Amino acid sequence: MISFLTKLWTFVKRGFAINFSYKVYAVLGILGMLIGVLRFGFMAQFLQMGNSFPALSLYGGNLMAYFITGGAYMSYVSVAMNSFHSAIRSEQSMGTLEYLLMSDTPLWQILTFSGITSFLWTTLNVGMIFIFLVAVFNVQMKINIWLSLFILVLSVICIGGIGLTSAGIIMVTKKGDPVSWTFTTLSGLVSGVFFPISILPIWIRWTSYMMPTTYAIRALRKALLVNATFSSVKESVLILVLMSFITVPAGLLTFRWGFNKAREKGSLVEY
Amino acid sequence: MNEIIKVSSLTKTYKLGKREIKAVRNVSFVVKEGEIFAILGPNGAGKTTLIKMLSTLVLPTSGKAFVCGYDIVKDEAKVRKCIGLSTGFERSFYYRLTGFQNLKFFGTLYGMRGRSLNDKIKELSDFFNLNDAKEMLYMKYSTGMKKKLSLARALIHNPKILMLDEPTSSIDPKSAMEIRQRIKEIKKDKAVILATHDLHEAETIADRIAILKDGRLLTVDSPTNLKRYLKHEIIKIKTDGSVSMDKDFFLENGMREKIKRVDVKDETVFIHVENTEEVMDYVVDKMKSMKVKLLKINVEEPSLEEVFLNFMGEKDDKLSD
Ligand SMILES: Nc1ncnc2c1ncn2[C@@H]1O[C@H](COP(=O)(O)OP(=O)(O)OP(=O)(O)O)[C@@H](O)[C@H]1O
Ligand SMILES: [Mg+2]
Repeated sequence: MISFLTKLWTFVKRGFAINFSYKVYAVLGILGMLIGVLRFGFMAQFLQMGNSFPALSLYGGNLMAYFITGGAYMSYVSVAMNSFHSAIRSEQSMGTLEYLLMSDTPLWQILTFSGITSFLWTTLNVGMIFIFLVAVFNVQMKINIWLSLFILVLSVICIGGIGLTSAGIIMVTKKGDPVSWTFTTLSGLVSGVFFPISILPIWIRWTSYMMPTTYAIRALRKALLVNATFSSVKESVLILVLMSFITVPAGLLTFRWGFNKAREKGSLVEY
Repeated sequence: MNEIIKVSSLTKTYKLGKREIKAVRNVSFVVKEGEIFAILGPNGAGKTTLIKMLSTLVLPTSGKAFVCGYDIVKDEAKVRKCIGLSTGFERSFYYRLTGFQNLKFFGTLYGMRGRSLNDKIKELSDFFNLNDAKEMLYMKYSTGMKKKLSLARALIHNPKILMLDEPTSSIDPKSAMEIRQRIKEIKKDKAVILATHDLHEAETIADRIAILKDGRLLTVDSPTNLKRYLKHEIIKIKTDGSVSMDKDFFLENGMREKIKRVDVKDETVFIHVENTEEVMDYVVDKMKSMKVKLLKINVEEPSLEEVFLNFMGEKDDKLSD
């Protein structure tokens, strides 16, 4: 028994020592948990408002539809944020990255291909879940399909620019990078995905207006749930287009920088 | 013959924190069409770094190189098109695809399609004797098959230059021989650059050998010339051992100029000379006068290994036996 406890203690000590040696990870992990709890707090606050949700009237007033669209959209945020760097990492770990580069295909094309592959894969998954949930919960939706697709693709491109930035940073640091973490965490908390941003205290609401996801989910919900026309979402679309003009070039530049830095360090294949 | 690769003062310094590692220092050489050019050097000499710079995968710190006439920094896309690369790294294919699917995938990225791609894959798998393995998952391949598949991939778009990093490392002698034979056949209409630490490999297939040590290019020459460079032959005389011999015994009468060194090991005497013809008479007479019974006389050229060790600055302790 004593020896069991001693061994247990050594294991715990070792685990903690290793976890704390990744300082950034440890801090980000704790912050992440905190923000997760915070998100549920805000959600609860939102739900406690009672059974008529004035904030939802814009989107047809159905709480279930509100959550399903929010959850589905977050999967696309994750695709746009992560597919570039996870594509690179997986090619690095398979040792094929150099050979992809050597082939007569520019890197941006390779990244686009893998991005589109994850987009389609996610669409297949999300589509099935969506149909299932809508059927089970008998959710009424009035979909403007082309507008929904347009907004989805536009927002994936806009966030993809940030994903490219994160991939560029990861090519150099080889570790999780703060851009990706900050963006993914914030988008779940402040962009009105699971509760309206009006729940948020005033002093953090400004971050909502900085996030492309805020505009994307707002427009997407209208297109999915109340068959909105283009003109009723044009403001959000315009903002997304403008943001893309910043995020995409910034992503391309950062990625190019990271790629050259990795070739300078001879660390292209390291992961 | 055309110069297909031209390297001038190419240098690569890696920075690791405050430390600087000079992996390649001021290296210059030229490779011509139709030749196999070996970069020979011990571990850490900078071979892989050099090959990767020429393949545009590592950026040089300074200096220039032109591959197929294109600058490796400014025209990286054109350079890549012109070369086929095969590194020693085993994990460079998709494990869960078959060899055939892998080749097809990479062929497609090179813009090949349909019939012409299938024909090329057929041609290459015939050439490398991979037909039985075509439908096998890559993860089931043996090391030898992996290397051959990697060579096949490097050739799929019919590049002018083949860059091979240790193509036969960790391969049994028979498969290594087969691979070397294939490389020799390939070179007919291509240039091959081959990094290796295997002297025997360099000697058997290279037209010219560059010796690299600590990032410096010590010399570039044909294997024959490199050996001649040493101006060194070894007369190996086997006796019946009845008379014991002394090293200094041969080093008299002004012979010290002509005989560089004598070693005696058991019944065999090793006499290192610059020119056998000048000393043969003297050596035989001398032995006869001692009533030594001669069993066998060989004259050996220095092996490439000796040349190599000589360049590595270790010649003195390792030359004999
Ligand atoms: N990415 C890198 N960062 C820092 N140093 C490196 C890097 N790659 C190689 N080096 C160093 O550069 C030197 C040359 O390495 P390189 O791999 O080019 O040698 P090599 O001749 O291919 O050796 P081997 O026969 O072992 O493959 C070594 O000292 C190595 O440690
Ligand atoms: Mg190497």
